[in-house]
Amino acid sequence: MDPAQLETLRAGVRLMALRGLRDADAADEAAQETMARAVAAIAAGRPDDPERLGAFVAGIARHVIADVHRRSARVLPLDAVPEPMDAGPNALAVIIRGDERARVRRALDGLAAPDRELLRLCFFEGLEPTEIARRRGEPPERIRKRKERALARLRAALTERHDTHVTSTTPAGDTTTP
Amino acid sequence: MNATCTSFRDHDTAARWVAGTLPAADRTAFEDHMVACADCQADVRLAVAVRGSWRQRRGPRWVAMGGLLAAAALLVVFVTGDETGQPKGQDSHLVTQAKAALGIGDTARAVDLLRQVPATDSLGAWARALLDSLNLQR
Repeated sequence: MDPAQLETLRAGVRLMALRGLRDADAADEAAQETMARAVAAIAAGRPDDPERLGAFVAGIARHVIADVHRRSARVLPLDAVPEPMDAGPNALAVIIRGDERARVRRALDGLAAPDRELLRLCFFEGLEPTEIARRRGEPPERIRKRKERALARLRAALTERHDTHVTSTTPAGDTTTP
Repeated sequence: MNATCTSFRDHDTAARWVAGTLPAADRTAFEDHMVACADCQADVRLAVAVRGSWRQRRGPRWVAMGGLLAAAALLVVFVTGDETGQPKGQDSHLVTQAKAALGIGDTARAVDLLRQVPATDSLGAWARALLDSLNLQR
C-alpha cells in the first residue's frame, strides 16, 4: 500500500482527535500515534480489504483517543468515550482561521431571520430536517431546500479565496427564503 | 461527492457530529467515512465555522446575562455585607461568581465599579447601566 495514501487520512484523523481530546497538541500526538500504528498494521498485512482503509484507520484513531482518556485515569470502555462537545469553546475551533470565521459570520448576518433560525436548529440543537419540519409544520422537503440554499451561501463564504471578490459581486438581496 | 456523502448531508450528520448529538453507531459510521472523504471534512469545517460565528453573534447576549448575574450576586453581597462594606464569609462564593461574570479579578475593583453605577428605580435598569459601564471600560 502506498504510504502517501495513508497520509491523506491524517487530516480526518486529526479532526477526530481534536473533537475527542479537546486539545490541539494532544490531537497532533494522537494523529501521529494513529499513523504509526496504521503503518505497523499495514506492514502486517491489514486491513484485508484495501477499500476499508479509511474505516480501519478511524478505528485505530478511536482506540488511540480512548487510550489517552485511560491514561488520564478516566478508564472507559471504547464505546463509552464521552461525547466531548458542549456549549463552550472547543478544540475544533483551531481548524478555522479568523478570516474564515469572519466571512462565515458576514454570510450568516446576510441570511433572512427564518433561515438563521433554521441553521440554529441544525447546528446547535442538532435536529434533523424532518424534526425541524415537524416542529414548524412545514414539509420536510421545503425545509431541506431552504437549509441547502442557506448552507450553500455559508459554504461559499468559507471557501472564498483571498484573490476573488465573490462577496462584492453577489446580489445584496436575500435569495434563501421560499 | 458520492451517495454516502449525500446521505450524511441530508441528515446534517457533520453538524450533529460536531455538536455531539449523534448516536454512537452513527458517529462511528460517519467517522469511518469522513476520515477518507474531503467533502465530509469540508462539511465538518463548515459546521465548526458556523458554530464559532454563532458564538460570536451570541456574545453580547451572554455578556448581558453575565452582567445580570453579577448585578444580582453583588446586590446580595451588599445587602448582606457588614458595616465596613466587606461581604460576610458565607457570601464569598457570590463574590467569586460576580467577579467571574464581570471579568474582574480584584474584589475592590469590582466593588468600585458597582459604586460608580448610579442607583435606579429597577434592578433591570441598574443592570443595564452596569453593562454600559462595563462596555465603556473594555
